[in-house]
Amino acid sequence: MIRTIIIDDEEMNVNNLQALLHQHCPEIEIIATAQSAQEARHLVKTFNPEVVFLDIEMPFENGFDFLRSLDNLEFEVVFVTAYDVYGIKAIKFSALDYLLKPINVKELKSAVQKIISSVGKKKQHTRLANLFSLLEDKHIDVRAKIALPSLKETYLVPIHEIVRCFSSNNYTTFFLTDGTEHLISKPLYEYDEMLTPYGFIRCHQSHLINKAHVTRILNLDSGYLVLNYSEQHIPIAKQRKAAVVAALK
Amino acid sequence: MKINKFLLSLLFLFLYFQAVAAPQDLHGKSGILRIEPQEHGAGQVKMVSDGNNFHVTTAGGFIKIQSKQSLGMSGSRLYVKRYFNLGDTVNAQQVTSGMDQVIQGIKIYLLPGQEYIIEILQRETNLLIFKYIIKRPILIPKVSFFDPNSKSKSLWDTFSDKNMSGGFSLSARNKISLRVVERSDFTDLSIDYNLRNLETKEELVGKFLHALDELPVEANTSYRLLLSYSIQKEVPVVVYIKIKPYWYKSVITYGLIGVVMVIIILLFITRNMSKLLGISKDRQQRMEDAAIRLQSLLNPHFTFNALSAIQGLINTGRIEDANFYLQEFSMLLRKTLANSESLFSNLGEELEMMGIYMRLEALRFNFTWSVLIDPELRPAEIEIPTMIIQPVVENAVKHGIANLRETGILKILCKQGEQDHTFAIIIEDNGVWQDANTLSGYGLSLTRKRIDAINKLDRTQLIELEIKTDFGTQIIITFHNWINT
Repeated sequence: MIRTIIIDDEEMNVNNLQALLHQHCPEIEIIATAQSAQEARHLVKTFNPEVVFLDIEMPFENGFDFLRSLDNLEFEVVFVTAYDVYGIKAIKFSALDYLLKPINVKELKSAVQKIISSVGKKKQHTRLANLFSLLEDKHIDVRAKIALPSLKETYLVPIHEIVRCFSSNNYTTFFLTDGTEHLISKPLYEYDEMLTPYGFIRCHQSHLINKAHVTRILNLDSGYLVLNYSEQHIPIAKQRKAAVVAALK
Repeated sequence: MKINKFLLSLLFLFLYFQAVAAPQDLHGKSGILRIEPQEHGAGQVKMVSDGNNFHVTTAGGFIKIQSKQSLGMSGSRLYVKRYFNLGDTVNAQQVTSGMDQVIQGIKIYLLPGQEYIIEILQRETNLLIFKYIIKRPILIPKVSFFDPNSKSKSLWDTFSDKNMSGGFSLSARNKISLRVVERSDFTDLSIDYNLRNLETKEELVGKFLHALDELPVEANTSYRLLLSYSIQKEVPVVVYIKIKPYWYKSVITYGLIGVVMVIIILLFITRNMSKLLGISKDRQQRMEDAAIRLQSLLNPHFTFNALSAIQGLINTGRIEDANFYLQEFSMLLRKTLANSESLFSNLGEELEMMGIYMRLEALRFNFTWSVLIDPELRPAEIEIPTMIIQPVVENAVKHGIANLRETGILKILCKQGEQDHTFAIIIEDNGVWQDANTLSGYGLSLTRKRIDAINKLDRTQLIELEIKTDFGTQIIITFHNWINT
């Protein structure tokens, strides 16, 4: 049983999550619930939980403030929020788990499964550190770091150092400017969505490239892109060609 | 049944005689009600009958409904049901009344697009004898712009644009002429125009009937033109017009070559900048209009939190409550979506929506709330900008009472102002807004912006927002000259 605390300022939401966890995630044992950050700090010290479901939007002290106020984070966090554009973006870039209200049972189950496999390994530390630094800067630019969680460890990589991403099934390989490659167990479309605002182009079903590293277009077949730091020429899909050329202008 | 038939034939007989006696009702089929516009000769009302149904269309919003002459015996055997058709039978505000009031005459006000239904029924049998469906269609003028010297081909048409609004630019000139495409339903409707010089902010206001031969403009100037049927100012067409400068104007300075050289260089450097400035004036005006049009929709925070609260009710077994709140939530959503297209909405409807809104928020925060209306006000007849109070109520919940929980009290009060034709909406809570900045913060500043924009549209009807923090927090929105009576 995984000892868990739920923190949410609204009682209805606490009850809701408690009921859903009870019904769908028997591995989770709820040892306490709190309706404010202040109360939660006390509970965390007393019960030393393994997992905390944390509402972001709370009066006085929000979920992020609460985490920052703790000396060392011994538990895994799952963020819960109704709507928070910047917060969610920072969480995504830090590869942390979050749930949206109203809670989707499928997502809840998958978040719990991820937790089960990582409890006790303290994997979240680097990712939380990245989250705090993103929240500090108030906006994400190409120098900000994105967390890439591989099987062994989590890499923090500045966005502009990503040359390209290559997809194979549900995995994505990242090629960096220093020549290293990281295999990440997340599908490419997730990164497509995250990185497009930072000058990335999906030129092909399996390729997402950083526009900043493109040196030229080869007009062979439906076209290839030549990139810095990359020997391989990246194909452009026929139906995407016009969009890619327009984006590179 | 026999009695019914007898009564009916009596009624028709009576109507027949009335038609003979009153030759102004040429068809004799215009029923027993007289429906007249109230806009001092400007309003127009059309009536078409099919059997016992009378389809009435009115151009203006104010109409008077009165029964024709004395109804004698049959009058006492009839009764009247009248209500606004809100397209939602559950929600129809039903007013049932006897014939008496109708005989003496009642006045109602319809928003563009609204429908009012009057049913005349037989008292004993509830048999429907006449039904009047009164509709105020949305009237948007279709206007073409011409060069006064060559009226064969139009320069631009408002109806060529999907949104009925837009803009165009013309070569240098000092006048343009306008022509309205005549309507088939109402004729001779006058059009109000307001031409605003975007540089000097001067406004030229006037009226015309079928065409306006000369609308004076200046070269090298941008304008905003508002056009609406005088009878329906609620839905104006907005047109941006840019008149280009005369080509020789720049040649005047040609003699001073040296100066020109300098100017050319200067122009070259500042060209981009002045271009930007020119656009930004234009754009600012557009933004003001957008602020008016951009109605405050439901905040996604509120939407998802309300859905989350409903999920909470479901998962804790409170199915009946969940159903209730789901209905409330969808009603609010429906109304917001329906109203998002119109600039104004009536106070009664707005207050009803805020009631639902507070009921939903109270589910989350357990506070007490109330809506109080001065009995002398008639909320159904007062128009206010759509969703103008919603962000204020939302702020009061968020910053004032969310932390107070059970001890929180939120009140909306509507009362007649001290001056004539004025009323105020007061949103009052017993909390101290957490952060003093929220009083000037995002939610309220947007409301202020919108109020400013609306105030610019009509300087005779001003809205004023003030904040008092003596006991808890009070936001007072005063509407000057907003009530007719």
